[in-house]
Amino acid sequence: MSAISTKHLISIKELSTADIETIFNTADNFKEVINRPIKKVPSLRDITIANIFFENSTRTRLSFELAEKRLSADVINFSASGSSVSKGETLIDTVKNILAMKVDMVVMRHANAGACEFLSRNIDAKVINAGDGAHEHPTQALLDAFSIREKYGKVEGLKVAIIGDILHSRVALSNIFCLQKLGAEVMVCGPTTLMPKFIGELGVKVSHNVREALEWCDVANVLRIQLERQATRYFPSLREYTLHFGINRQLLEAVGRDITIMHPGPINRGVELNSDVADSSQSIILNQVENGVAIRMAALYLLAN
Amino acid sequence: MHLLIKSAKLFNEANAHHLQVVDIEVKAGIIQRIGAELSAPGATEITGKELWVSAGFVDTYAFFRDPGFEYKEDLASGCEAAFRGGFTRVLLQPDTFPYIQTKGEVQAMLSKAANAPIQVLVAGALTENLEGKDITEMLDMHRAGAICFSNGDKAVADTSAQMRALQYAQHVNALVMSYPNDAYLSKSGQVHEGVVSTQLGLKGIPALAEEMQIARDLALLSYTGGRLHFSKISSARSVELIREAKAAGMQVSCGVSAHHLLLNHEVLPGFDTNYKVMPPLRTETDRLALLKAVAEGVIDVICSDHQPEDVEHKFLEFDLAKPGIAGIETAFSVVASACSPKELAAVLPALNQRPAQLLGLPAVSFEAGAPADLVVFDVAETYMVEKANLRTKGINNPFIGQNLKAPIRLVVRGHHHYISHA
Repeated sequence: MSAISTKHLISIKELSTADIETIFNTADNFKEVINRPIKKVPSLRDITIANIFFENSTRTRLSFELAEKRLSADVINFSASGSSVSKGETLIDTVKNILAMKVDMVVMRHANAGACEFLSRNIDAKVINAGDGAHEHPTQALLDAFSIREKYGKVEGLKVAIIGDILHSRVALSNIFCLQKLGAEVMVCGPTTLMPKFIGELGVKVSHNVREALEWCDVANVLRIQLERQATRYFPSLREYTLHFGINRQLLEAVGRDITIMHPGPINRGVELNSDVADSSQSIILNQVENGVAIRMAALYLLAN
Repeated sequence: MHLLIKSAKLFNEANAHHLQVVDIEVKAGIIQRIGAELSAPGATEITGKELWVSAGFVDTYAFFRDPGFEYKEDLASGCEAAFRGGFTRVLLQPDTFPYIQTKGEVQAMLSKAANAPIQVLVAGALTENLEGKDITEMLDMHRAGAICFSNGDKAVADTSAQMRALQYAQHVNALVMSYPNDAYLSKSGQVHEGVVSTQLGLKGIPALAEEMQIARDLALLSYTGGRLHFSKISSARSVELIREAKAAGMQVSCGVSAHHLLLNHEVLPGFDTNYKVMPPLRTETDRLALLKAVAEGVIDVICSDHQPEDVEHKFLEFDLAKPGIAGIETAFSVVASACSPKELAAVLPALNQRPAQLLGLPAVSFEAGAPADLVVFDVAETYMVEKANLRTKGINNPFIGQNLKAPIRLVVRGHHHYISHA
């Protein structure tokens, strides 16, 4: 069986194209497994995995947990909000606790960029990044690219627009790296205030006009807009965002191209995506969710071996 | 103490032997003789492959964390670390607790440091509690020995407070130190805003945050008069702003940290918090502009920006870690590692002569009979930085385990001396 070149899965940056292909090929097998009547395989029996979430998450955590259980791993879950204890102490203490509990793998989400890197340098267990600040969310990017590959049979040569809050988005960053490694062209689109000034240096096209992005792309990956979590207001109101950057059926029809719509979830219906788009035949949003389990099974399996 | 420095190239413009290879005999803290082929029976000989000797270095920007944060550094450990780093005179910043902001605190610091191997100099707080609002009792502190005024790493955001500080310091013709950093543009920033911050998802601090504050302070300076020193700059555009101001005859000077001359933001992938510094490490273009500006004299001084931290404040997620490098022991070698020997000769005045001038300190003499104040290093050697050899309490030195150039062999200040056997 193949393996990947890294000990941990912390960023797409450090994966080779061959690693990504290996993960995809493994995920193909697991996707077949999870569609069987008996969905469970014994691959990770005797492996203990800790899911440690310092930030709220529903679907990523569920997806990982399901992937782990399908592989017959022993699973423990730990969620903590950073409010009661200083976050720094919590992570260090977590490190010590993991060392003491003889956990084999850790899946971690954390509010700070680099937190998984920090963890991986200080524990023996293998680390999977389930999102670290505005840095990376590698399994999301892998499942996104895997879903594109499933729909088109390839990723190379496709044009993918990532639309929304690029400034704070680990999903955008991981997607950029992943899609570029696989030979796709990437455009990022969003309000000027939500666009990193130097994003163009990553080799992506930059647009501030959602119609322009839709006219250009084959696939639109639409990101969740979160006004409530921003300490600084980067745009004046959700209403104005929706009017200028929201995607609805009318806009898609005006563009007149058969664009595939993706979203990492959870959707703000009526904000960045209207229901008439999210639930349409152009949307592969639920395929992404299903593929998420297969991709995470593949990542866990490949790292465990 | 009886020392004979053998075959060292002297860097001291005031001396007739400047740039000559000489022997120097030091006894009882006094330069006895300087010349060719000296012999001094019984003296400890200092030899090396290619020794250079210069006046002891002068640091314009360091934190010894004492009083208040003695678990990070204290006066004794800071002074010993500085001395081993070749610094014989060090200006301490007022960000202690309590802050150095009254006569009593200035006097206490100076008297506590009276017997230290280095001469400790004190910058009084520019504003009360370094809050950037009300100016301090500068005249009283000046009389007590504070040689300049600084708000340390807490840039004064309030323009009118900065104006009053520049005006008031003129009563005693005191230098005002300003760390140029716009608080709004740099808010929650971690690293230089650029392609690296974008790749790492770390909040960027645009070079603009520094340049705008420099432009603001220069405008204030031309209005108020007085003497202004930007404690540490980091961008190529900042260099140009200061170059223009100097050309226009303004009384302005500036410094750069040693690590900004060697490192750029490309060291950041890996999220090593030892590379988290303020101002942040910027691009290679910036680094090269800084190095050139030191050699040209547009940047007056190189400082250590010694900021010792303990495990609890540094061994953390990047966003939560305190900025700074505990680098006073390695600062000189860091500079030497950024330079060819020819460049090192050109930037050396930024470590000895120019900071002394800036702070109004007496120049060091190498004439026979003068008190010894010197540092000897070997420009043909390299050494590996080892934690065990460092005297700072700070754990935050990214150069530990790395090879640096020009190890220090000898430091003398009067009766105090340090010979490195590493």
